[in-house]
Amino acid sequence: MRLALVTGLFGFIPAMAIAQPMGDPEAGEQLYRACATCHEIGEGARNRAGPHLTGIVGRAAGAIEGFRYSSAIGASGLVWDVDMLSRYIEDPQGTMPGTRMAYRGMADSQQRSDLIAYLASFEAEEVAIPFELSPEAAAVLAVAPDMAYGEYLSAECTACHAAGDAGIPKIEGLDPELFVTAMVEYRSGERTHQVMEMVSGRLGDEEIASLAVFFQKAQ
Amino acid sequence: MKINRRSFIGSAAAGVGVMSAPMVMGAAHGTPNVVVIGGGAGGATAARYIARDGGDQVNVTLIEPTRTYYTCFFSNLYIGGFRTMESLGHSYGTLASEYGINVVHDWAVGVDRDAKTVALAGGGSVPYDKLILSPGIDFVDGAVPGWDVSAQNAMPHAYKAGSQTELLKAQVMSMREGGTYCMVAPPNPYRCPPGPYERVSMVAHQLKQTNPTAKILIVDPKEGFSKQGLFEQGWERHYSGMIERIGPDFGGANVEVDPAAMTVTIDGVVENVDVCNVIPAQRAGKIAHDAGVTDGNWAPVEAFALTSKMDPAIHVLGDSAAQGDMPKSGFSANSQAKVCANAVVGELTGSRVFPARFSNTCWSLIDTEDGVKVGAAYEPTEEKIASTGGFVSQTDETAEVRAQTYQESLGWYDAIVSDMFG
Repeated sequence: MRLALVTGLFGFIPAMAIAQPMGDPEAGEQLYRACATCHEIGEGARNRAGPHLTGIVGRAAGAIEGFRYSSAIGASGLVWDVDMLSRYIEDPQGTMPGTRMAYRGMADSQQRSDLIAYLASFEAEEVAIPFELSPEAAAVLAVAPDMAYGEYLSAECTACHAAGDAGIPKIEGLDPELFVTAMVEYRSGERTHQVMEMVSGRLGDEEIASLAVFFQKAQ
Repeated sequence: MKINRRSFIGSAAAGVGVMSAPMVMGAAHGTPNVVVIGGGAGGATAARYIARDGGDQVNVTLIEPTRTYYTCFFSNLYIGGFRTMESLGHSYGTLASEYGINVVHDWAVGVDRDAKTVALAGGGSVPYDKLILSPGIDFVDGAVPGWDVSAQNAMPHAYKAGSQTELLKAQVMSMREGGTYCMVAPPNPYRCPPGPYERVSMVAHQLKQTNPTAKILIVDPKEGFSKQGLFEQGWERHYSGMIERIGPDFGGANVEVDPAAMTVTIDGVVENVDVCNVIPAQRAGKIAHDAGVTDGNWAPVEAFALTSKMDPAIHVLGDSAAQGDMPKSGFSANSQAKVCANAVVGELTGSRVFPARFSNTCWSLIDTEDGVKVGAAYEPTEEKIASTGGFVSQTDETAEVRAQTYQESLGWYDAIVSDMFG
């Protein structure tokens, strides 16, 4: 549920993003045929080889639940504003190395503007997609937490995670489901980050469960 | 070792007898005293965690001569123009007001291990049940022939942050056009392994803008250094032709300086230089030697709670400690401090003690938004603190990854100083 809320937060952004000079959506519709092999768009669009693109302009990268993003996209933390989309469409591999999108890129900036104008004509549907826990994360959450142990272990986290949010995300007050999901994915290597893979790699289920509950209550 | 209540009361009473300053009031109530010497990444963290976790069951005194602590980490970024000196300064006010730590701004000049007291330069002494030494580094006398601390204005070390850092930056900024900045790099082990090379990067960043024909000469006694591939690729990319390094094969270990003449003699060849940054060989802070807990240059400790191998009532943290595989870094000292704090509070109050776990990450900046990192995890063994594996940034990473690494380092800075100073 928390992720759906985050998606909603970014819902404020499209108005600003769309206010920039736009291309011709009709020309963009023709260009979109190249994308349609992998990306559905519009009412009822579903994820296929690529995530659906309804409401993509202004959406947080990696925000569609149920789609398995590459870590390049999923962990990027960026927002698909017009400029970012344009850079990505121009040179997907160069802009987001590690992306699984096989598209080679669109050099013509007018064409990119047209395509983005077409994308922007589809607004996000107001549908909250439930946040589904992986079996691994659910197993961790089933472990009884040890608050004192969690507090001790948290000292390793607070060397880098401050109460602010600059550069490194704030983890105090984080929903345990999100905390555990992130740690389990770092531990399995599904999510990549050199420091976090190292840290999570030596945390057992009890440690992660205890940390999750400690940080939920920490302020 | 379990604290014996009777012997504790005895030592506290003895302490009061020689006290002139009213700083050990807590001792009269029979509460155990922890004294921490050195308010940096090790000492400030240890003091804060012990005060936090020990509550009113432990008195914590922190002895640190400076009222404003300038972090050595990130001080190279000041030289590069990415940080102000002000942004690196931190006070001890929160540790005193919110954690009840007795912050004593004085020099610890002696440790009487039999009486368990610490003598202060300003007079008086402080009794302890547990003493935590985290005094950082001092320089080995005569390490670089021709240099001693009396020459540190002509040839700054800038390896304890503050006025030395400001002096070095001023010298770099006012260097004559096309002049030579020379760094005499230290032998292992020393504080912050990538530090000298991050500094070279930051000096190059400044010179590229203000004095592009200037040269940088590194005289290095070491065969290799931390993040070498990353730095060398970055230097080639950003500062091509500006930086030359003379390693031991070409006389880098055979160096003398003449601060009056501003010359550096490398393997008998005299070089005129315009700025000379001498970073001498290092050893544990003086008080660790005075306390008699050193063996050679460093203070040996066991790996489970950083307890001195010479005295079970003393712990040594951070740069001063000979602990095994962890690099001498602020991150390491902070990590060690938390393990030590948990053990000390456990011993003094009976609270739970958890298994020791250590980690370290060092970020370095090569040029604007070009950040790299290296890190590892560690576990205690009977022999030492042992590395269990680590990582390092890759050469040829994209600009986005490097920018993200730099942003991450900014987040880390905010976090660690709040972990140290509250």
